[in-house]
Amino acid sequence: MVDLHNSGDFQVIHRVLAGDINAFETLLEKYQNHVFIIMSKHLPQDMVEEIAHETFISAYKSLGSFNFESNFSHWLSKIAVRTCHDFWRKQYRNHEVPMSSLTDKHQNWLDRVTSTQSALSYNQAQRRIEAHEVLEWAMARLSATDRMIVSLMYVEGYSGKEAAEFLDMSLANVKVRSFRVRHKLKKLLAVIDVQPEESL
Amino acid sequence: MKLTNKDFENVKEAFSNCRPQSGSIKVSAGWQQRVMQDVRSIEPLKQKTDTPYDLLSQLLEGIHHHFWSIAPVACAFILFLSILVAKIDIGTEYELNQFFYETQSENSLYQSLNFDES
Repeated sequence: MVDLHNSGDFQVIHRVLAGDINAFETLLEKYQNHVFIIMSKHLPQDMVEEIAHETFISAYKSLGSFNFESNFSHWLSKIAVRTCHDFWRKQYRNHEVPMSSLTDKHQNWLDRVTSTQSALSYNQAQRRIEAHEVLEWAMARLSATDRMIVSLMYVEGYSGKEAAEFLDMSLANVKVRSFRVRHKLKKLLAVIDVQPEESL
Repeated sequence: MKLTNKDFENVKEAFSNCRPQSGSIKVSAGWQQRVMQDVRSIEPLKQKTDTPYDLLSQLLEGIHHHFWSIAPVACAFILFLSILVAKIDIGTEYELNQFFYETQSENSLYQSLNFDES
């Protein structure tokens, strides 16, 4: 059965490739929310618009290599994730990753989450902020690729195969990295209460 | 504090719930226009095909694109090799090789190590 959703996208792409640049606006309007959701999961909020902009420019430039066999939104998602990966690689290369420090409230958060009570009971809004801060603190201490693996597999719940496809890496590589990242994260989280705040 | 696997699973679950929800995304006014403005400034696209002509033109385009960025490095490398060749004096090594080639290996080894044949 022909997917009408896809066939509509394919027609628009054919028009863009035939020289109708304005037709790209249809794709931009249709998928901007989709891209913004991906961006907001991987990037600081103040960078979302800029990187989403870059994603659509990359998508436009690569449109000629779109093979019309896969779903356009999936193809665009891969470009979006890879643009986020590139953003973090640049940030790490330029040493511009913000290194926040943690306080007692974060330690309390970790104690509560790892206590015998279910983590689900700590999903309230105020706990989310602390969880987000701990996550950002830990991610700033990982490499750009490790950060993306944590983001895709641990936070968004993608499988290793999907993460490998998004990041254009082999499944074996992603599996090895995710295993190492798990250990790194465990080590990082274990030292929160041991390491003084100033030295973080 | 050492985290057990169960602790880590709880932390992972908490992390997966801490990201902003999709409803909170706001796009600033004029963002779409800015993207389209940039898109219009890019030259019109061509669908990539695998015909020999297209592959050749892609290759030539790639060479043309990278030629001037590689040229200074290539020149520096050629200059470095020229200086190296001039300093090493290949002629002497060539003569030495020729000497070993033409002389019996046993004799030349003894001679080169200054051993007495007795």
